[in-house]
Amino acid sequence: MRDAITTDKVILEHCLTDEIAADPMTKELAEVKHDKHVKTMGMY
Amino acid sequence: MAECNPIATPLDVGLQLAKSEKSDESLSYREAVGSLMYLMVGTRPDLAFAVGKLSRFVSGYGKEHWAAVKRVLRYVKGYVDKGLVNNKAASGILQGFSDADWAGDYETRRSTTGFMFIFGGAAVSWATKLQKTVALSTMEAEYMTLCKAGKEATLCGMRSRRTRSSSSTA
Repeated sequence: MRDAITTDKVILEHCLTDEIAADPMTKELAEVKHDKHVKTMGMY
Repeated sequence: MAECNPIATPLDVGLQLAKSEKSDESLSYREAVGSLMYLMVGTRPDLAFAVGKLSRFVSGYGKEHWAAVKRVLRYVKGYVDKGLVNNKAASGILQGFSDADWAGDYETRRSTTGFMFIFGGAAVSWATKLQKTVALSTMEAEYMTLCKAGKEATLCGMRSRRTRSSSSTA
């Protein structure tokens, strides 16, 4: 993993909570946030 | 459940369930959770957390667990025609997201790991799991999650390279 980061194959970025698509994988969300993340997952 | 009213989210916010000492065998709890798990593994990442949470209680469930399952079924009814849609105009970069919910499990104080990888506009890999050990800080919980996500990223990267090389030789 360290090699992948130093060679830019993997780029690590900090995301705000609202932008993390994995947010609904760890907790129950209210409707608005849930809908937003469902769209981010590519569900239509 | 065919006549039920659809609902917008699979679980109530802040829902806390505790394991029952004895399972109510008159309920088809295990069968329902198993069916939902089949959906979740294939095409419904939005159900992952709900299914993961409900499956912790297959050895001790009662009326409140059954009510939670019925809520998920109401949600599925509302979103029955939704599915993962790939978009050829979307980014061709594999994007991974990881998150942790520190001490989210009410009974054991263990944290929840969650990650998702998106490629071509739709999720291609996802997981939610209760961590094996108790994290003493949010940072520790996030770090454990990053480790899991890193391993999955390596695997996804290998798959993606293999797909590219096989498509270029075809």
